[in-house]
Amino acid sequence: MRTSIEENRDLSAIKKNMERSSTPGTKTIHNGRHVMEIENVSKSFFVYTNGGETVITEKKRFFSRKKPCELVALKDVTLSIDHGEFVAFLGPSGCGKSTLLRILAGFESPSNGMAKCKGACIQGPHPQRAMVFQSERAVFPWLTVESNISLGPRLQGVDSEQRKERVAKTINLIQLTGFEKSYPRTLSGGMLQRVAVGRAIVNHPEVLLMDEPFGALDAQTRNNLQDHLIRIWQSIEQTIVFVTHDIEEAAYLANRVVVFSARPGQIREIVKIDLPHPRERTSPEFLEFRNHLADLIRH
Amino acid sequence: MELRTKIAVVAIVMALGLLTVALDRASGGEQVYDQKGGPVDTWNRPMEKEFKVGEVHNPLHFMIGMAIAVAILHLLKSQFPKVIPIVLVRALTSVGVLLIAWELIVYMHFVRSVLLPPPTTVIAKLQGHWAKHYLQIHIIASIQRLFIAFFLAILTGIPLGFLIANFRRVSDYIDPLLNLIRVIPPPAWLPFAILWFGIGNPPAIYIIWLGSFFPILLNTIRGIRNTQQIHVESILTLGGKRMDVYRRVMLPSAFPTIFTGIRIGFGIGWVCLVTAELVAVDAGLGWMIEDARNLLDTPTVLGGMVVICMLGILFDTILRKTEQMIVRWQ
Repeated sequence: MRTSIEENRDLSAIKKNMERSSTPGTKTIHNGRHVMEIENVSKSFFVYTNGGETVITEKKRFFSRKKPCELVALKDVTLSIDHGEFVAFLGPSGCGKSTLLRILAGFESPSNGMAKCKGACIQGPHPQRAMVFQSERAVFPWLTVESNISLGPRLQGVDSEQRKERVAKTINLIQLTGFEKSYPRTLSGGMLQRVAVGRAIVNHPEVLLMDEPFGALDAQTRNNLQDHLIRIWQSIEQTIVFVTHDIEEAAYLANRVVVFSARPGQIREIVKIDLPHPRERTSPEFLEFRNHLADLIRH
Repeated sequence: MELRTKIAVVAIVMALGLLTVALDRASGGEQVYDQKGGPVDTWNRPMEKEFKVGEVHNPLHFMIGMAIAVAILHLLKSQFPKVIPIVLVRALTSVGVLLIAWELIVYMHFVRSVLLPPPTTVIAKLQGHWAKHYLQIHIIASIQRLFIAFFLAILTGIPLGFLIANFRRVSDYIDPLLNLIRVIPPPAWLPFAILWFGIGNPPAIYIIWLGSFFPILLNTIRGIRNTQQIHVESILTLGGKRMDVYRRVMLPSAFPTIFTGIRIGFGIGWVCLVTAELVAVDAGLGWMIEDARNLLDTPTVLGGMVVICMLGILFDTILRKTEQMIVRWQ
């Protein structure tokens, strides 16, 4: 108890130095820099229990005598994301950060509010907003590494020569040269996630949405892939939205960490981290940011 | 579908076609069928004289030869242990011992040869039938109707399964009907099949189709319903449309399951083929067996069974190899 108070006192000086938006949800700036705008987005589900059966629906049933239990996943989230930014959504599990990402990807629609990409309302999935999933099983096991990556351009109707060039460039970028003809069955989890990243960036998307992509990997591989991702991000100047529950991961990767509070999911604070890459995990500045984020999560 | 898959499918179809043509040539070509479509030679069954045990092949030579063959196999195994798999040696040994024992119990007069024709008699009989183009006619007749029915089952089973798996309304209306028909064993349809279609190929094709259709259909449904949500979402986020979900995700991810259905369906179709031929047709291996039974020509009955067994193994191997070739990613 005492130590945490002391820590807080120490942190207060740093907090002053940190740039962060005061209270989220008060202002939205409309200018050309914003790639994504999230305006007052709320999302709630209705849970019906009939005997032993539990049904989760998005809409309230009109003719149901039973009263559903309303589950608010997101409440009044407002946020804008700039071009080339690396934003991390951080929060305890079940805080709605993944739901928000799925709204941005277009897999789900908000119950209230609006999510926009480049000024247009998001309606359904689009290759401009490429998604990397948590599970490495999202890579198609029936296609080789090369075919997995070239599938996106093929669906866009890119002609074969240009496609070959782009695929070669991407494979080089994710450092899987030599594995072009391998089937996913023969690759490790870390390599598969790299394929998943390559498959998404080969389309040159506006935003790369990543849903805890390194969550299922061991610590060593995860650290490697984080460095990898930073290199990729720096070389192609991509906007990345990264969902994670790992505090260190968020502090290590992001420009801006959006901290969510648990149910109903709201933005607790947005922390701007202006340390240059590559970051040192043991440097005092890094640890201060980390402890600050940990404090935010804990309370 | 990948190019390799397409080439494999085309190659298999062509190989089967060539096989049919080759067998057709072997059986004397154009003379097989008369104008009504019934085989001519069927009635010229070679039965002018009965075989006696040991008339064509000497049973003693056969048994000694088999024993020597098994011994040589073991010798080879001991000399080249890496080249010959032990499983093969054991399998061939047990088959060899079975053949010797079978020949022996007839040779020692423990069993009358008419009740259990020994291998030498069966082989002699099959040789005689082959030389008279009698066996080939029946093999072709069987294979032809099997292939027609089997391809019909694939052509109907996979698309229907696809519709049922994807569209709730189709599944709700059609599922109950299919479940009613599914539990009726196909041979129970034989009387009606004959009444509707007459004696000949159509009723047999109907029965075989019925037998192989349901495994293919059910496995297609299962495979497509097991498509992972994450794969569907992946292709959507890569810019795929509805058709791409069907073509590039559901079909390949369901393919192993569908192929299992095809293999099971082929097995059941094979059973239905022989059952239908015992009753509903005037040519084919099943008919040959039934005809020989009427004449108490037991070596031909057993010979027919041996041919059916060999063909079954052949087709199953072809299907298995095809599956391994196409589903290399698993």
